[in-house]
Amino acid sequence: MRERLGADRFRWESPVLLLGKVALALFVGFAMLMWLFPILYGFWASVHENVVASAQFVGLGNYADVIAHDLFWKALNNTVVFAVVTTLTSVGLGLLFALAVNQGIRGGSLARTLILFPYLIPTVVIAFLWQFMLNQNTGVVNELLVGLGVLDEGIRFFGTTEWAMPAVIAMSTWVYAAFAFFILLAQLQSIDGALYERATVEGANAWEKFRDITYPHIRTTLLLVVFLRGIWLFNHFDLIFIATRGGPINETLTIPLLIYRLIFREFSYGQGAALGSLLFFLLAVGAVVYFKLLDRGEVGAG
Amino acid sequence: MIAAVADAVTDAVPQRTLGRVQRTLTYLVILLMCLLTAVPLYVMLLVAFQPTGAVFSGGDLHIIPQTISFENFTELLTETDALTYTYNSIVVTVGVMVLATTIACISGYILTRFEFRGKTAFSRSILLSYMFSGIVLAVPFYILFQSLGLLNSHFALVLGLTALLSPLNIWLMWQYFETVPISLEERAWIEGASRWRAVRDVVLPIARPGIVTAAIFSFSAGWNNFLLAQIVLSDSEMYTLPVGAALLLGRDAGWETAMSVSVLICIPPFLIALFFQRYLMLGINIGESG
Repeated sequence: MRERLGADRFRWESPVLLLGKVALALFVGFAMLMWLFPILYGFWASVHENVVASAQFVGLGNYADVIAHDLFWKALNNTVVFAVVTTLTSVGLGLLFALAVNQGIRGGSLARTLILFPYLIPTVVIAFLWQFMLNQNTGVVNELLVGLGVLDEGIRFFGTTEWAMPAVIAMSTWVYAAFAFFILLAQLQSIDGALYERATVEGANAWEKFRDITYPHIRTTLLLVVFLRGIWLFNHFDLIFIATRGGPINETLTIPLLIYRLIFREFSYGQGAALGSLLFFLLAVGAVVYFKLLDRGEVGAG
Repeated sequence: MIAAVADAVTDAVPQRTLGRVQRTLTYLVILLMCLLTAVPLYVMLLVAFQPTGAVFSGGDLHIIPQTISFENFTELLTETDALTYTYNSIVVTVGVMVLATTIACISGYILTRFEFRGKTAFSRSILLSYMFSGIVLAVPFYILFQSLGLLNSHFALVLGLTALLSPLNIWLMWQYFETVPISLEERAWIEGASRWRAVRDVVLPIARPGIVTAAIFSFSAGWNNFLLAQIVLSDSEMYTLPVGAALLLGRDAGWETAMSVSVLICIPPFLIALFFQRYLMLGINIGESG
């Protein structure tokens, strides 16, 4: 607040002002065209039938059809399990790794470079790689588990109903832990080292230092990472689609995959848009509750 | 008073043991992190450099390769369009990095430093657009690009990806600029610097880790994207690597081909990681003194 008052005292220099106005106008135009239009079109399509050829208004008909769809509840359930568990595992691991690397011990910078790689690998490759790793015959994971005597014979991880979802979650965690890691590490590095030194002098142990210095400092970022990653995972499509296509027997079919099926298999863009909008409303409500629960003044900033 | 001093002395001993336990745990976590990340990557490299058919012929894959073969790669580069796909991917990725990072910096700065009407609505709408399903958005994108005559162009893909990516990047830069106190800028203004110079010389250098992170996210979106590229690009000469790879692998290719395409796609990201490493290094030594 104090900072913004300071900003008002200064005016933009006139050439900069002009340039700024042009940039702002371009930016607003871009936002309208690329954000507003597609979203409004999606909402519009969700209450129409036969969208592409000759659209007819059907009110909430598409929404009713979608909720009555055989796979709706299964997909919703799968989506919640996938998104919530993957968010927790990837942010948890990311935090653990960030805390370890932030200790500044040897090997930390190597680890930090390595963890960037999974995040940078294209989803197509990740899906191939994990299909190979978890393959029943050639897979390294099965070979290891059988070799150690944990299993008698290899498991088709992506092919059995019990193991498909855990395999998809493990694969996604492998990729997205890096996201939490980097954002949290950047935040950890901005903590003043003198605070820890003083705490050490005063006899605080590692847990007390984490609770009283580290956690308050990274709390906002941590909650934001959980929020952004969580929302994103609810809409996540590529990785599951390429690895399992939603199988076996729809065990990894999430809402986005069902939307894909509605649009490109059942050729009902209206219903796909309705399901997309429904997920959007659920997430929006979830977001409001999340910010209300977690002191929104601190997290929301707006 | 004396008791307090005595307490401090007895506390100091287990403190050192605790420190050692913590150090060991830290090493274990870092070891785990390296193994989890490196093993799958090693497996990918291992398979890519095996002669075609090796994985199935003997059954067993040796941890240390017995033979190294470039057969898969020469086949890939001479008999397929892999090089064209690579070029297309580079064009798209550079475009997304420049456009998305610039937009994120400008919007992030405006959101931190200026009050304007509709700011709250704007910041909320950024988040709301992030909640909308990408697949549902792909269809209006298609319609939009069709009416603008941009279908099957890399420019359209850059625009679409930037739009999908911007909510996250703007949030990131917003958070970063919030940590730069305005007093630093004010000091530059008092010394006669223009607003732009103050931003360039004071704010941007401090926000550099954030900018690098935004650039990495942009790179990742541009290089990785599969769905939008598949929808926007119809001509196989325009395909980016992920779409091209999926096309190549649709022809029942073996694991060796799959892994060699994978390695090819992974080379630029790995180079980027090594390049950005130096920037991410900044400030890493702070924790070392304690």
